[in-house]
Amino acid sequence: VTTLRTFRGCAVREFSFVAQKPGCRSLRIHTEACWGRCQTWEKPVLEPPYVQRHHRVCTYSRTRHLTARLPGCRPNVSPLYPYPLALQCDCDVCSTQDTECETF
Amino acid sequence: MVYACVGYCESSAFPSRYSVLVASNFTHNITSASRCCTISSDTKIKVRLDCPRGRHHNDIEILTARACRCDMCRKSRY
Repeated sequence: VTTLRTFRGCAVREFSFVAQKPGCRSLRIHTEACWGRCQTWEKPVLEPPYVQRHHRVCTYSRTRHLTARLPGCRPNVSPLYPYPLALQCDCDVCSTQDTECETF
Repeated sequence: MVYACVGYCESSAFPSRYSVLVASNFTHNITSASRCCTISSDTKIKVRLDCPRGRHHNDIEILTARACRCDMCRKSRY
């Protein structure tokens, strides 16, 4: 039996969060996000930079872009709140082009 | 014999907070919170390379891992 504690790989997983934006009331949103454990490694090599690495993280590979409408917004504040829905997740390099890459 | 590090560290990706959206001009709508398997401690070892017919030898130094841990993921040039 695979449990969350022993799971290896990268999968779509339910995710809920509270969308907050100045000038609006907050709203809890249920969506799908990505979670898992990808194989990563570092090995010494003879030439600079002396360490070769394979750092892949569990992230969105196919995404649908959705927009929520927040309640109680001030008249001059747009109620629209964009967020992604994960259709498929895979182990891949964290791209700073479209992703905020953080360490937890 | 040299040692490398390999393992399965936890990672996740989810919708970014509003402050991240604003700071990235709405380009970073995904936040990845991840750790990757890294060499946390290493040491150098000498390796002797013997040349053909035993006339020459050459000592080279190479790193080997002493300990591994899940830590910051890094970009690699490879």
